[in-house]
Amino acid sequence: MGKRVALAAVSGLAVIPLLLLAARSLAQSWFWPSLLPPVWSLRAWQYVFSPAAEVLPALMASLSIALLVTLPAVLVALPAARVLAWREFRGKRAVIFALLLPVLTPPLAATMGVHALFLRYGLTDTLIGVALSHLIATVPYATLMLTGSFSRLDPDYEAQARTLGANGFAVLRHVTFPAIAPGLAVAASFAFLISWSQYLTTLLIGGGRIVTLPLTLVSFQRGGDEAIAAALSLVFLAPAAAVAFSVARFLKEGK
Amino acid sequence: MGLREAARRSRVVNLLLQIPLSMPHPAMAGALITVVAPSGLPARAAFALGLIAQPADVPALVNDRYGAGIVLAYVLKEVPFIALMTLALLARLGEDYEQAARVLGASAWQRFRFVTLPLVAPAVISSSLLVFTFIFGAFEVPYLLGRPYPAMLSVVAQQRYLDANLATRPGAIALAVLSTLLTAALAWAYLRLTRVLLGLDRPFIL
Repeated sequence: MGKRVALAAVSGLAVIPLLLLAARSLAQSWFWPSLLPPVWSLRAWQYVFSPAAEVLPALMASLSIALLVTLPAVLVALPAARVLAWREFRGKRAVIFALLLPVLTPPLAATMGVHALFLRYGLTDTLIGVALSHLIATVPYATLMLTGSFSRLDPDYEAQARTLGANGFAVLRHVTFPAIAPGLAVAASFAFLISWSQYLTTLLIGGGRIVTLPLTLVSFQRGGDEAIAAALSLVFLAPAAAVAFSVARFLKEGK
Repeated sequence: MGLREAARRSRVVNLLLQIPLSMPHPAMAGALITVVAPSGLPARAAFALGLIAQPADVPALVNDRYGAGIVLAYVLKEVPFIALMTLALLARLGEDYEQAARVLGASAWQRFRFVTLPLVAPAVISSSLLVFTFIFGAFEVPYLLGRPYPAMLSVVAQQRYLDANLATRPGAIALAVLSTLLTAALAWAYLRLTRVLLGLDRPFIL
């Protein structure tokens, strides 16, 4: 019984916003009090895909920043998580606390501080600068998730492989990597998603020069064209959902 | 809890939860406006049924005094997040503890209160703390669904920071520092409170 209710609630939560956005994006106009749009049209979609909307450059900017963020985030998180999960050392709690600080600090405050620093090094208004600022939020999440994966893996497997004559690379390639691959996929996808949906950091560090999808979307939402905003919402959602779907099956085993 | 039963059986729930999770906040806010705005779909249905005469007859939930639209948007976005975090832990714990309690004669409520709840408390507490701190400093949703004045702290700070008049910038930074301190204090109080209420020995972070 409770199961059915829960299933219905989840499906509703997942599907209804999508349907609403789809309907909005296809409505020519949808004024009070019509329950359904009286006239349907592809106007919003045509506009979104036209060069004038500059959606494609924003999509490319979002994508390149997200990839620029995901790779270093995972590369930094991997060794950190391995040590945090397997070793006991003095001040470990302090390290974990320091790691969590960027997550607990309001992004606005963190970004303002970074902005002052980036101004000095000429990193503002650049793609690299924006990607660096996204790393602040992504590295802690990626590290925490990978720490979970490592702590469920027995360090003795590595020792065993080494006893059997495997060198460092072979251990990594044939023992550690296959064992934490699901966790790695989840951590990478989270890093991607966090970067993908950043608004404030991109706005402040990018200084309006670096325009990503969230910035375009919010400006259309404030600008008042609801059909275009809805179509853009779906364009924005699609890659994120694709990434989330592709790692969903690892969530149970991997995390 | 029913969700876990469902999740165990089907991949579908796991997949469905991904949609609101990956739904960008501004998109969720946009979808929400169609429903809760005074001219939203339920209000139109009420009009069609002759219950109301004009949009002004429904209570405003967008750009309203109490931020109801903001709260609703975040609830829709963050419930799946906490659910996924909790589900991951539950899947790892398995059913053995609950079955043991059932064998020993515990009722459904007792099993939940004394077995399952203490087991999942760490995941619920840490993920809800993450959600709390995130929302406290979040910007897009209050920007889109809130009132222009008095706006939420993060919106005020952002606007002063990006104001053409650079003299307002130190004030914005002061607000950001203030919100950091507030977050820290509230997070600490929350961890203390849950520790007392649930009798956990130490706050759960990792």
